[in-house]
Amino acid sequence: MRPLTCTFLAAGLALVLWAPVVFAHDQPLQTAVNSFVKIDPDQAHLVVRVPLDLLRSASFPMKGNVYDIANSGDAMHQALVGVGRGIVIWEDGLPLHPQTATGRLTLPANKSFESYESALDLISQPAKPDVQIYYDQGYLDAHFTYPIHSPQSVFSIRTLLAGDLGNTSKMTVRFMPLNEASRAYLITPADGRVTLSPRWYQAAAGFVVLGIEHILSGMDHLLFLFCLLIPYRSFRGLIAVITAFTIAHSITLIGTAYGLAPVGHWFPPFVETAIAMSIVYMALENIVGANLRRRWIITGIFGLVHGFGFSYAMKDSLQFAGNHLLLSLLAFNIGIEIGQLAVLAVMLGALWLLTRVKALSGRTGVVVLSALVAHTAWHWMLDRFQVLRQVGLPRIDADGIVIIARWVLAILIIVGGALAFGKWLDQWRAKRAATGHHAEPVPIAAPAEERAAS
Amino acid sequence: MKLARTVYFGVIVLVLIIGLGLWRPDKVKAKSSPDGTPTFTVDPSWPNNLPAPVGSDGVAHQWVTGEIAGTCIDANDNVYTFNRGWEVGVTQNGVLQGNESGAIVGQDATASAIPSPPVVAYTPAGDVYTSWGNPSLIPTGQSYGGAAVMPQGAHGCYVDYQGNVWVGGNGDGVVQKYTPTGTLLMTIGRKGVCDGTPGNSKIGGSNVYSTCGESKDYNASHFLLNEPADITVDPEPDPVTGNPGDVYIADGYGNHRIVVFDANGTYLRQWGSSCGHNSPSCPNGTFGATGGGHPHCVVLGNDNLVYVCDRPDSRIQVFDKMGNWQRNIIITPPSSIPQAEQNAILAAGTRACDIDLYPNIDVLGDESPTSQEFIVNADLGNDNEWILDKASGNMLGAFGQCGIAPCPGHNAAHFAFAHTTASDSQGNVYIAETITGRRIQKFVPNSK
Repeated sequence: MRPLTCTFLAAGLALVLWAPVVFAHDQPLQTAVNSFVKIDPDQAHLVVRVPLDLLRSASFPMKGNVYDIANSGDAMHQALVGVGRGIVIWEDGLPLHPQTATGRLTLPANKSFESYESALDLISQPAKPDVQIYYDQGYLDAHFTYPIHSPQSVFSIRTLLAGDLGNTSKMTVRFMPLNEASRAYLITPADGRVTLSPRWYQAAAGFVVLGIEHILSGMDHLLFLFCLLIPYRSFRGLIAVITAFTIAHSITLIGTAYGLAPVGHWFPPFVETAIAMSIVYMALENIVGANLRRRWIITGIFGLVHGFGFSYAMKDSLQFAGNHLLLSLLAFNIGIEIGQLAVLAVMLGALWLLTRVKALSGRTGVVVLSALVAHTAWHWMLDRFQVLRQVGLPRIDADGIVIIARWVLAILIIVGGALAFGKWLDQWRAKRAATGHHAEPVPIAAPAEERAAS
Repeated sequence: MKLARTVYFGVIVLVLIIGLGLWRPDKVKAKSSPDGTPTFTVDPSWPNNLPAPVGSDGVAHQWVTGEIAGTCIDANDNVYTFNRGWEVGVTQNGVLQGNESGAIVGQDATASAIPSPPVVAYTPAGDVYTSWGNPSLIPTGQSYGGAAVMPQGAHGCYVDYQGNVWVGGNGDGVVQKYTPTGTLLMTIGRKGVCDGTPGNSKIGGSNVYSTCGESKDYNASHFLLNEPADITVDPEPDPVTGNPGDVYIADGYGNHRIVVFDANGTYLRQWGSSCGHNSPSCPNGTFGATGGGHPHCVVLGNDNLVYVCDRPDSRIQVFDKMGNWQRNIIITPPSSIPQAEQNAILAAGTRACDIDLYPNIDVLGDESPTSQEFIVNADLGNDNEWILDKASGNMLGAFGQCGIAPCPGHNAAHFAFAHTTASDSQGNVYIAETITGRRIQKFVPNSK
């Protein structure tokens, strides 16, 4: 193939691999609906606070600038019907219908919804007729009860309140199952029906899918995988590397879910920058020629960093794990592995095709492809480092030292264990070679000894 | 190899000791601050970038707030600011009077920046939540200040229990009540007319109306104000009328009083007068004579007491709701710091510029559960923010980069003209700067 064709191919690949830097940003919560769902032996309670500016379906009478509380009976009925239809609770897949509904208007400064008991207490007292609540400046507080068959049923919830606002219309749900610790959820109309008390298989299935979705949409993780693949071009050679990557990212992912990761604005851009750096490093190592037999060690270390990145993807979804946090984390990992294997299969095929191009076969191909990857990742790294600079690194305080110490300990143990395992593996290989077995195929990279001699 | 192994296992032992909490370096740190005193870290990424709307000239014009004079927080922890960037003064008889220092006209000419609307509210995450106020943005010519509905000399603000936003102007005679989206609901006082004698000799500078200013202090009108600095609204029933919604105004750049109106703007009562000079030992119930800010803040506690900043006298005076004096909190450095540092802090006047009770006072709901154990106090003279024990008045700590010893500046957690402060329901504290700082900073509480 001609050099010009190669250039176009390379440019096309670079375009495919390019992805804009996107950072998540918290939506403001001023439109949030605040609710409790409490399960008693024979009934469920929904206690909900809806900002009045979200309640377009009910028109409360006005007296000048303020609501006419004394004459708001009909409007209150209309509002309760609207909220009852907008928020639906299911028991074992069947929608529940409210048995009772009570409501009142409340001033915006009221803090009763800090606990279920104080919220219920507030709603049991009607608003004073002379209280002055300005138009759209206050809340509708409501209490619904639903008869249920069993407190052990699977309960789910959906909100359609202010559905036209999409993801910006958030509803906090504090789910209080019978004889279990309460859990908090943040849902939007876009989430559809959310299971508040999932069975283990429901939680696991959801997180497997989430894991697959995440790896398929994570361009930087894919590029890292591609980078690992370039010098090997065979699945067998990759096994140790991918295993190390998987084990390592599982450690940080699970550690983060259990609150062991550093917190602060600085950490996400730090991780993003480190991920980009890991790709640059791998690509450069491909170019200069790496000792691929030991590559699984550095891959494992970078896997720890990527695990933090995975944890951000599932941070908002962990609430849907119910009581099955560890299982969900493992399911998420399984999803990532399934996605990784699928991607690797496709990448191997693509690489095989690319290496049919004469100019890209052998070391040249490794160098060209790695250079393209390095170039893309280099720009990611610079962009992300700019963000990190803006946020700034934190001053290390005592709590930070403790967190760092725990991670350093974990890394030291892992690295120490890995080195010991590597040593054992080398000895085992040497023994096999001495007994006449062939060593595994040598990958397409300049051996370290050869580089040293040249 | 042996050395590497020794280092490896040595590090493991060290991090085990720290990681398992066998040695806590924070115990050492705890010695330097009294137990229970909250500590904070500045959030340098708050707020996010302000809008830069593209004008008819096709150029993006970055909003610039100018001086941020007022800081107040609503029930959802949105942070309202009252800004001075739009102010350039009033033209009287063809002559421009009172070119406010907060205006950004010069910057506008050179950097395509435009003043932000007078009121800009931010979400806790730092995005612009809403913005409003007239004039829309600086028009051609500079005479709009006189036509503006909003008060000349943007100053204090307050979000009441009904969600309404109150603003006052220390170059004017009005306090105004707006909806959260900027619809004017009520005005106390009269725009451009103060509770003072005509012919203010000090007209010019920031004094643009002839009856406004401390040299014409009347301290008497039941309808007019004289350069009000701050506002608060009581959700609880008035001790006399039994009606909620009283408006307490620190009528204190021209006048020297706290004046109380009912929810409809009808005068109820007042207290305070000029001390005649400035001193922390001024008689109780009087305020420093000159320098403005006498009083400079008014804050209601959930102990049903009224906390008032007597700025020139560097003290907080505490009254009941009828104006009966209860006690003074003089802003005094702790005796534990070197004498030279104490002297330096005491040498600076205007140490009681603005306060908030901590945690969570701005939204004083009838179920407000907080203990309000502390006072956070913006110290204009020292360019620092103090943390005081509310009961004893003792200074416990500071927000500034250098702790109790102030170090003014423009970096994160430095201050330059720290002017107003407010705390939200999550324990965050916001501190805004005027003349030389022109920004607002967010301080996040450190976990215990």
